Amino acid sequence: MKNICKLMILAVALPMIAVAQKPKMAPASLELRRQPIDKGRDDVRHLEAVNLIRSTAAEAALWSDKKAAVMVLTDAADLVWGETQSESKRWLTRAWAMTDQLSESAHDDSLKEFFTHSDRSKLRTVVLGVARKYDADLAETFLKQLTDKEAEQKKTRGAFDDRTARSEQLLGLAQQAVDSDPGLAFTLAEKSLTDGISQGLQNVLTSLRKKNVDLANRLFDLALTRFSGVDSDSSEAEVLAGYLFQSGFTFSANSSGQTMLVVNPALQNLPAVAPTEPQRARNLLVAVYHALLARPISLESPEGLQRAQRVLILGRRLTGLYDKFAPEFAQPARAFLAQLQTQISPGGDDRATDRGTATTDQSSATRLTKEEVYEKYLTRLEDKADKENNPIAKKLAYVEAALAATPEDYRRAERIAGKIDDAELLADTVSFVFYRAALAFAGKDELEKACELAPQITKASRRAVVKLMLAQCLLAKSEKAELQQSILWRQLAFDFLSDVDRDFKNEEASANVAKILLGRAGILAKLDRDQALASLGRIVQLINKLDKFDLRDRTAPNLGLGTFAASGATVASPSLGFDFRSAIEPLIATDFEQVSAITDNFAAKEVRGAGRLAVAKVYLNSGSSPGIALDRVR
Amino acid sequence: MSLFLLPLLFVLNISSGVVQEPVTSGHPAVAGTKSEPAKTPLKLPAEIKLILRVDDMPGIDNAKSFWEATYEIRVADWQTIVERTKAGQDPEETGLTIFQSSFAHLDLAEKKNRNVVISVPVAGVLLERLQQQSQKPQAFLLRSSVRFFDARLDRNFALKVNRIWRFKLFPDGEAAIAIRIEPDGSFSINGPVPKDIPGGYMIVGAPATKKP
Repeated sequence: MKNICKLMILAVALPMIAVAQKPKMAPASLELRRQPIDKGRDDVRHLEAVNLIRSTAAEAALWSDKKAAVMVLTDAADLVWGETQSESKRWLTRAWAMTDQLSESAHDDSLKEFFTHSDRSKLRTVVLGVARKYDADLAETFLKQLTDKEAEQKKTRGAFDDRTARSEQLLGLAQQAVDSDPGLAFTLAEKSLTDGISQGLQNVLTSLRKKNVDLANRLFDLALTRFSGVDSDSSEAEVLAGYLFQSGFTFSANSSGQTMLVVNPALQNLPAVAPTEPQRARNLLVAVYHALLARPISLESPEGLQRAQRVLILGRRLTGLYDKFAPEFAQPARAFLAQLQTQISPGGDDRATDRGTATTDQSSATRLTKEEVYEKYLTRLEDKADKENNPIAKKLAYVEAALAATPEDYRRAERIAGKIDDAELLADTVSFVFYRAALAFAGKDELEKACELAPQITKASRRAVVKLMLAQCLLAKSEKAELQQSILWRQLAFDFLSDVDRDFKNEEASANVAKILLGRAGILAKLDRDQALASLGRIVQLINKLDKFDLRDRTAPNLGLGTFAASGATVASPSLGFDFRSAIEPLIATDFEQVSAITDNFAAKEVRGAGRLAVAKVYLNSGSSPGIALDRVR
Repeated sequence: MSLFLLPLLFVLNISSGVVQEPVTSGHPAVAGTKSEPAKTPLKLPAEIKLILRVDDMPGIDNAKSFWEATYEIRVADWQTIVERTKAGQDPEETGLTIFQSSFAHLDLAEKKNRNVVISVPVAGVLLERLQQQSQKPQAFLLRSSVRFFDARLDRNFALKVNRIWRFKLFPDGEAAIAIRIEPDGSFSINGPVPKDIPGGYMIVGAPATKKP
């Protein structure tokens, strides 16, 4: 490995010297062998791909894993709708019916008070998306069924859930369509207003504005008209206020009156809309005043109290905005809120004073530079760990301090971690610190630094992910380099992949190992197809040993150190796929039959079905498929 | 150090104190009528008990999986916690430390090691404070650092488990915190959840409680 690093540093620094190094593989084997286009063969493959889809869809309808079945049936319909319309429609209808059997409980139990995001809801959006793409009437039928079902059942919703299952689906579809077809997004979002103003509308409005200001304004006006009608709710005003005044932020309150906030990071840094739409800002504030701030609220029931707390949270944030956009309502709004506050907690509220204190503290903190704040923070954490007497608390405090360092500041993190008086925890922390740093450097194209760190990562899985990322980067560079340089870089990439193979020879089967090997196969296929196919065969056997495995999950394995600071989240994501699709994509055009045969070896029927569908999908989307009409060749 | 290897169990036989706490009927008073709140004696528990429980993790049956922790329990005026929270200060930096300890390297394959019971006798200052519960409601604070090693995942987890719970909601003195690590390496910490949740309360991040 050290030799590889030296070689690489030389290769980057002194290309001419590097050219003179003798590659370990013959140049011919390092390049993809292109086969001549064979029309007859492609027709047969196309048919095979379609047959794979049909047989898998037929099987999926009988699977006990309904989530997998819905995904396969929907994908199948999407792939061959143009060729087998009636069959595809049947699959999609079946998938839609199956969503009833999926879990409607919150995806993350700890967030259920905020939003549900159930499997049922997510997959319904997927099915509806395909229906809308090919058959608007079918989509309408599905939505109608949703409305009918919802009327029969009452369910608890999170504070940031959309108002109905129907509006959730409509806004989900609108969000999907907003980039490609803003007009359609507008129509779908407008339909959702029938059920009130849902949380999802804020994101749709903001995204739509980026595409078409006029459409966004029209949608806002329609929503405001809806809000000004009967049964106005403060949560609806929160959505519209979020859109106008604080993009990406939506506020609400939980049942005990505490403020809740969700942030959409993708939209949070956009400029506020209100300064460019002062009349709309005023219209909203006036509507909020009439609907919520001029009507007494009964506090006799828990529901009334909760409603009052929500109005208070909304009103407090809007009071400053009344001064600017609707000054004649500012004073009455303040008076109403003061009275409401007194009613809710007669003892008074000192939050304003407290906030003032907090702001003063913050402003003195902002006088420090970023670097000074960072320095101070790290020093404080390390000092705290130094002073800790309990040995367990001490070593955990050093872990916290080490991980508080930035990925690039790994030497400092390593020094702090060096104080951990526990060999295993020390090794794991340092390994993680190097892993995090190597990924950060590779992500910034500082390959020499990443290469230098890779062999120091003691855990094989972390080391493997770094080497895969290095191999991927080298391959990308080689495509733009001159021939000799390109060969050298490809050779280096190949060596990294060989290291991973060697490290994982005797590794116990696990989802992470399978993911890493799939990632490796995808890169290897660009260098040596035969080896990649052999590797794919071994991966299938490995996956067969696991209780369950999601072939579609593209994300990198979670190899972080589980900590208070969620250190896993601070790791740069490797820019390569760790799923089955990424592994077979470079092989499909040349080795369709072999890949298809290997996929048949998956033992679990759901995994095999997902694999077959992936093979067919990748082939049909690869550009090799002639796209012949099925009816013609049947 | 060997002292810390075993779950801590201190149960002292101290006679429980009895204090008066007004209990209202839960119905709003009707204007024009005089209603005296009914007074029932609040029986103090003999001990305050906290159970730290590992619910599940992928390598829980692996002989190399273990956990260890250091912790302290404090008692504080609930009002002070509320005020500190409102003021944007750390509510956990308050109160009187009533118990401090740690345990090292508990083998999780042993089922009995998956629960650690921390018991604090209601005596001395703690008894005095709880006797004043009706005038000055009390709360307990747990501050702890916990490390898990899951041998199957080959991963370390170094977590801070800090919790605050009101004595009022745990009148029998017993509270439990459940920790769970999922196969994908994510983790969750739930509790303490009162056995009977009063109307108007909702516990965020807790599993559904059984209806009485």
